Amino acid sequence: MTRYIARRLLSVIPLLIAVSIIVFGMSKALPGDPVEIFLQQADIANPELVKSMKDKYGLNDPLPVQYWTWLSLMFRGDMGESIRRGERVSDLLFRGMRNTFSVAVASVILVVVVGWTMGVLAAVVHNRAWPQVITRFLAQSPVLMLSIPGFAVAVFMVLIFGVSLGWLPTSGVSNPRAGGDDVIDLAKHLILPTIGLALASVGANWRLARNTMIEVLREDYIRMAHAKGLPLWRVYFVHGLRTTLVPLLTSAGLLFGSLLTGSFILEYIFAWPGIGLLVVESTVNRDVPVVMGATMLIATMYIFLNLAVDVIYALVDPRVRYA
Amino acid sequence: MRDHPVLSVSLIPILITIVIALLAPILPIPDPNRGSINVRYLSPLTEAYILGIDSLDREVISETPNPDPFPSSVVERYVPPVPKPYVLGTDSLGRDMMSRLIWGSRVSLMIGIFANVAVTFISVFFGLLAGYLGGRVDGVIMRLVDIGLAFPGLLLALLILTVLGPSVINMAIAVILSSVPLNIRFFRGQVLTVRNAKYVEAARLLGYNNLRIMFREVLPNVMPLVITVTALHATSFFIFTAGFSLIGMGLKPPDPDWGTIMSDGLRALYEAPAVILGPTILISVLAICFNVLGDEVQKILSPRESQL
Repeated sequence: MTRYIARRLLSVIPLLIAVSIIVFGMSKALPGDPVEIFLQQADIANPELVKSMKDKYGLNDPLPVQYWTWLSLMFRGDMGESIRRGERVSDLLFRGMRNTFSVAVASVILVVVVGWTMGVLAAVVHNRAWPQVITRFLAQSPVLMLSIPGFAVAVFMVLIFGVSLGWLPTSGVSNPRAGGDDVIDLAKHLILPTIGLALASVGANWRLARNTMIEVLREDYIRMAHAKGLPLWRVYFVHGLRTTLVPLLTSAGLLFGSLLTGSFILEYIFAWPGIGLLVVESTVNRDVPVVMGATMLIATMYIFLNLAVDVIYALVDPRVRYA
Repeated sequence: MRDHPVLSVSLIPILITIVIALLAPILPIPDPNRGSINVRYLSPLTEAYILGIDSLDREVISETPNPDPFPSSVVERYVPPVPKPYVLGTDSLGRDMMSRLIWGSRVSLMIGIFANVAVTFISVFFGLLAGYLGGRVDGVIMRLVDIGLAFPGLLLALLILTVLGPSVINMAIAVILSSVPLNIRFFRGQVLTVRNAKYVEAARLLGYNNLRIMFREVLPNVMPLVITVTALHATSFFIFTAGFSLIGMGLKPPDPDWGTIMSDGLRALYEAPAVILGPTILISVLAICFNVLGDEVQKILSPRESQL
């Protein structure tokens, strides 16, 4: 197992190099010269100045040298400054990650509380003489949740709870008048983005919990537990749930990882200043250093997430290791 | 069709949308990009009046048949004013929302369907090559796939669009390129499961060349899955393209598609909620229909997988 993990870890290195070359190449392929655009905006037309500025920023060096400079600076945590905002890219990324992190945490909590509870309930009710409305609802609603795109859910909620009822704020992280540290205010702002982001995952986990638990409840040791005369709740929630939790925990962990890479569309709709909105705004504004930094960060996180998935599968199914 | 009622029902909204979108040029609907500031933010099912024509041959529209004061720009006056219904209301520039939605469906559906078909063709081709030939071909293709998979979801597409610049064609290219890696990996996996089957071995013994074995023996046996996956993925392409236009990286205004209309609506949530509601409802209904369709196709074509 250690050898498998080591091999997979090593395979990350060429991947990261390839990604960094793509990101660097993209920044060079963009139309327009950054120095000329900058000087144009400042209304200065001076070829000498263009040359000296390019020399200063190393833009006259050969491309491999420029790539190496960029890479080594990035390893030291220096990703340059945003062209539009004049702030350090690392500061912007940190702030974006913090906001994305809070929605991701809230989403995972929602998935665990609603998705798992309903899924386990659905499994317990499965094949029982309960009213059909309830069993049907427990079995079919995840399908509906999975089908409606997240941003459509977001729009419906914004219109209902924000525009017509006026109960909840529909954009941003905080009310400027409430000050930055108001927890209740933050929670209010979190509700709609969290539901929009998590609903499909709630559906997926609901279905997963139901299917897994139904399988588990057919096992012999469950029959054994019944035969021993254990109370029903003990059979279901101690013996059954313990086995069911293994795939559920894995799926929640991976969900959390993938949520950390941000969502462009949902963060845009809710003006939620996370990493996704940062990428969108800086691509639209052609803020190249921010796009490069954010892309490298997201891609790196995603590569390690994929690595985690592979390692978990290898742990569960030893055949994967030798494939 | 009669044996699969759910399939037929889910097809109806999809077909209706496609037919209406195709008929857009001959339907009696106004120009989707031309509006009148006199009739901004009309709510659905209201009626306005065409008072006449101005010197630039544009309709002069008013909410009341006899406005006070009467616009002096009218060159040719209609007596009485012609009533003009707005079924879905108007947006911030007084443009007819129904017309924009119908014309917008053309772009969204076209990119969605075209991208889906293109992704399937490209992925099946490279999946076959990688899975069947194996060895160095497989190695090269899969390393490229790995690089593509290092970017989550829309990020790769967003980067491609940034370099190429926003347009309909570039949006299709971006969506296709970012969806291909995952599909290649999937189809390769499927090809791997049949490549050592007895009938493939028999074909090899008969001396058929690799090309013939790939397309005449292997491909037909993964075909049910190819169709299923294509049907199941249909929604994600509409969502991708709508999402791009929504965040301002897709179509350029004033041309409508579902995403640009949503983007307009997002800026007028309080004045005209109907603007954003139209495309959102349409996308949701189509998404549900396409999902049901995909599930049904899966049940018919590969009953074993759908029971899992």
